[in-house]
Amino acid sequence: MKEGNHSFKSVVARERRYKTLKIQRRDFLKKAGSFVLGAAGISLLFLGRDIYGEEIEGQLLNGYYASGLLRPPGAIEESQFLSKCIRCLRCAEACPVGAIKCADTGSLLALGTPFIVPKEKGCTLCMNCTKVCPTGALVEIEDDPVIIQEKVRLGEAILDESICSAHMGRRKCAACFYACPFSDKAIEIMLPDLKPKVNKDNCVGCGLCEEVCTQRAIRIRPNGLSEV
Amino acid sequence: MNRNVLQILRRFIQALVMLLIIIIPLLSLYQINLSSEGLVSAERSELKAIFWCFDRTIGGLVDVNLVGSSVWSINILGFNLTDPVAVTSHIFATHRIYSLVLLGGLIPLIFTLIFGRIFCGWICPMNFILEMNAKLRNLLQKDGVDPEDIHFSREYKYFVLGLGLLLSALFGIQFLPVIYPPAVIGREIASLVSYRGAGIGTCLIILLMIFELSFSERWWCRYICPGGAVYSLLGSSRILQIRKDAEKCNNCLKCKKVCPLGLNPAEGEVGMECTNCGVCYSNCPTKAVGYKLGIPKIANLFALLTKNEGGKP
Repeated sequence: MKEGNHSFKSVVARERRYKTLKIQRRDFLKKAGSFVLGAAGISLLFLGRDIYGEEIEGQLLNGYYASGLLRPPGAIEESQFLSKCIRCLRCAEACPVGAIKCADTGSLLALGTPFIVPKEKGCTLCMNCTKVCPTGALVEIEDDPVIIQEKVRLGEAILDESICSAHMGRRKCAACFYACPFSDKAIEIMLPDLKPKVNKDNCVGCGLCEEVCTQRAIRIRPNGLSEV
Repeated sequence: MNRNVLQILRRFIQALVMLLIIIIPLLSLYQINLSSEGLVSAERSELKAIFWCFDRTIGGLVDVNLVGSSVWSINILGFNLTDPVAVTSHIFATHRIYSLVLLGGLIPLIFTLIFGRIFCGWICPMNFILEMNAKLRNLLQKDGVDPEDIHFSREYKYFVLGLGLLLSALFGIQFLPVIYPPAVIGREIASLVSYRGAGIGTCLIILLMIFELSFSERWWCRYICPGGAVYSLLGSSRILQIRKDAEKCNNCLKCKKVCPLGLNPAEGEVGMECTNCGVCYSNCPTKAVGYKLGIPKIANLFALLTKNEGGKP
């Protein structure tokens, strides 16, 4: 009687010990799993790279995705931009003309990043957005015409001569010439018919010409897109 | 001193943060209106009254460059403050450490090291919304509705964080700002104010609220939030901690019942996930639960990791 009771107790004790062992093992597995994940993350972090190094070619799968949006002035190269921008939209709030907008679901992985639609509102090159960026996705640029023309490249204005009314000989327009902040440098005008001509080397891609063009003959191509 | 003062103060700060998130995009619009000489108010008549108020009060002082954006990254009088979650995500996505970003995250980091997950409990706008949601849930329960309450493992949030960081490290694209609610709310309210339209973030937040209302109490903050995971890890050996005075405690377990995160201060199982919100502190009938200054130990981190499941019923 007594012995049977004892054996029953021992069975219960063994079972309980087995259960605690199981729980311990699960805990251990969880901890080990998290440590492995952390170690993998850290090793990825420092995989043959300088911590304070120069801008080198990016991550393992970087550049796989590019949104093709027109970025605000001072923006770094697109693949670097997507890794640096924390999507806080402080640039949009600093913009005095409301040119910078927030990318929505349609732009997939670039959701929440800032971009400009020049047909609605072009960039007036005040350089406010470059000063407020907390991450370095927009590099700070001084508000000085010479420096702006040197450093800012949002994109590139492309003139479709088959649509432009001046080139077609319909009427003398020159709206883009007057809108351009660097007229005579970025957009030249040929006198007898007032035919505009874009000088690619001097164009900063602000989009003010696209905003005023009634024919949509002149458009900005974002930096990330290749020439067709 | 009445212990409810702490809760009133907390609600006041939360409401202030919500107000700030709404007012800053309005100030930005006001600035655009000034520079374009009334173009915005001509287009949108509903803003005329607000702009009139701004004209009378702070019209001359407005400079969006001084105070900008939401809680995700804020600029207070020319001083950058960035969420430590943003800093972590930035480091992983770029594979580099930039002093500019790191400096922005320094003050929130120090606050987290001292006070723990205080951002979640006192500032986070999503926490505010979901707390109100939980109150609605309680009201429904009193009315006889019986919603489900499914429990998950608290480790899920570390998994979500790890996955997000791993993906951003691989692709070089930041993923956490897309799903982290404080960032989403800031963006959505800004786009609601300036374009009168919301994106997918609003849909997700409403879905989340419905899910918490009907299936699982405080699901996001307890089990999933990657930001909460970052703050828990950073504040795991915090100085200010909730402790129970065993002599005063009458084991009523009210603190366990009221804790928004489902932790159990009565049995000393607060762990690293406590937000120091003080709800248990204010609701304790015998004043047994109190704030204590603890000495941080690095070894505590590992000890707390094992005790992590304290909140499970």
